[in-house]
Amino acid sequence: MGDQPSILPSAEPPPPRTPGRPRTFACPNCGGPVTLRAVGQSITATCSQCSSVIDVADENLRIVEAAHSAMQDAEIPIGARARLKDIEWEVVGYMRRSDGPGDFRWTEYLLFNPYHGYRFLAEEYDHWTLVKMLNRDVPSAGSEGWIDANGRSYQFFGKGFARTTYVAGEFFWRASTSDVTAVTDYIAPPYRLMVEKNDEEIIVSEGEYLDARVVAAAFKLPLPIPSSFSAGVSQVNPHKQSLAVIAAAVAVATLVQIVSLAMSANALVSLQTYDLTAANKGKTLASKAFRLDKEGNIEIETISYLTNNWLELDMELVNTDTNRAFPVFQALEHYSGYDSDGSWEEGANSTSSLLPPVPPGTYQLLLEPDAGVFSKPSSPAQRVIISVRHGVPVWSNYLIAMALLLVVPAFGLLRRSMFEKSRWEKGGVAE
Amino acid sequence: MRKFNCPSCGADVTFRSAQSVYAVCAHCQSMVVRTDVDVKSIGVMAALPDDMSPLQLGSGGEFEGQPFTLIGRLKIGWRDGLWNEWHLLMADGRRGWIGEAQGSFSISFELEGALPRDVEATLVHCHALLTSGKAAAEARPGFKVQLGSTTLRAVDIKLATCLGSEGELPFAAPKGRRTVAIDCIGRQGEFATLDHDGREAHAYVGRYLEWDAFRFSNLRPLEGW
Repeated sequence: MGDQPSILPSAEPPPPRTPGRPRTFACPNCGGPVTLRAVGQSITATCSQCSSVIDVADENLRIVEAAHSAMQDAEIPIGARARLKDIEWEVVGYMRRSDGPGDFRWTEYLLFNPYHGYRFLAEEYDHWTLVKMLNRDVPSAGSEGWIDANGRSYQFFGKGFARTTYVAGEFFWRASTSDVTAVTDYIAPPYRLMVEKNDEEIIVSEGEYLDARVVAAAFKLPLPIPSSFSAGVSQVNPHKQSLAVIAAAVAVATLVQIVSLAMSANALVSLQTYDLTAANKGKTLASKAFRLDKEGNIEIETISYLTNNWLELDMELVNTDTNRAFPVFQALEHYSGYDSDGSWEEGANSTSSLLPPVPPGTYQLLLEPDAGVFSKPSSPAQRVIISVRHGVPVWSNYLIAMALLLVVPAFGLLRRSMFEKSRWEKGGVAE
Repeated sequence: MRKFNCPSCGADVTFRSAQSVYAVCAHCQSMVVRTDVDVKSIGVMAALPDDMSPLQLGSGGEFEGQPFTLIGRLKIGWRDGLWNEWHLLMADGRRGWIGEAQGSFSISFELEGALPRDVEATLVHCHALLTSGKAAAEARPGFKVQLGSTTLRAVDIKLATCLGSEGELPFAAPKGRRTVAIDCIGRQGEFATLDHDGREAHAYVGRYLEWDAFRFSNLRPLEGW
């Protein structure tokens, strides 16, 4: 042994310290019991009965501020414990704070664990952040650009003042309602960097956003859950751009459309020309019979060149085997002329109707026409060409599907940007 | 390890580090100074104000893979608070300090050799704190400090007063001993403290570490935790 240094804790153990325990004393103002939880670290404590602020840095227990204001209850009471991020914390104090004008308010709870030290749990409009002092030098802290801290790249968020409006419990500094610090905020959701500066020091802290449900469960308290429209400053935007799912849906729909296009027969099964005169009014005309070998949809297209006139066709596609009829009504009109604005045109010379799939069988198209020309017996015959197609490719379903699919990302983008708008409304530079 | 009888009360006073010159008798709080062959009492220390620290003399821990034991403690007060400086003895004989303040833990070792000239100059500027309680205008926190290979920034300058001590210490730390303490931090958690007691300047360099990193053992029981 001699002069050799040695570590022999078992040989001569120093007398163990008495167990650490919270200290209680009588409030020098009202005599009420005050419990000090972070003994030796707390500098000020408030009496829970008369809310006087007491200096507990030395034995003299001086009153700093007697009964400064009525007691205000916090959502989480002093003394409550919760396990957050794998460490058990006890609430030892809380502060109400606001920005310079007092438009924006928040609460900061001071959490204590004798082994792990302190954390702040900040609550602003039901959004929660667990904050830790960094003990790291951040050389560009306070600037308005992007800065690097603790291995993260932070975006400038806002700059303003934090005024303490109410304190309760114990603090490791002289917490008082006259505290005002300049605060600069940076975000890298879910992380947040806060730089607080006063005349004497710069304190850099890093916060992590906590889900209100997690905080409520940890404290076993029914805390309110923020609305999905209000964003927390460093909350990760929950409205993800789910583009992969949409892209997959578009691909599937397009594939289905290509296959159905390839499989559609698109056969011309009937083409007939009618020269209609006043004599045909109220009469039923019948097309030649045509055969459909398999089930398929039907498109009836009518073309007629009308000069300032109209045409109505009351049609029925009739299955001559079963006498089942599928009614179709078509109307055409076309007008044109000249006026002071030049030439004008209205209506069209063709129209088409799509029928849902009909069963196979022999069919005839029956039609009962009416037209403007029928009112003048001397008018020349109006030529009408009617074609019937079977197994026609359909684009409308595909286009509707595409439109609906695009609505989803458009809506998502809107929600995402509304969330960011709500977040950044809290940022900016206070004058 | 050397054992002496306390000249004041006769209880055992143990020096576990050969380099410790001062020790506080655990029984009567006498501060004992070790001479070559004997010990003598140089006064009685006040009982230390209590705290909720989980550390105690004899607590063990690890730093850079090497075990250490806490052998002494200074309780320091300043205008706005208190902290503990735990004196530690590493297995290889090196002695260092664990600062326990506001729930943060730093570990540091005295910088060997002469202090850089600008650090000396800063400490001289701060000297006014010791006498008048006010530092010179040049001594505002925020300046850079180069210590060995590390660049740090001074973040606060305090007038520190010893409120008491226990165990073994490398210097006499009577109640009321005043020093200027300048705390510095680096970008990666480096830590340094510069201090001046009116006669000598010292620099201690190390880093901030989380509680778990020290793997402390033989801790003091804490009620309710």
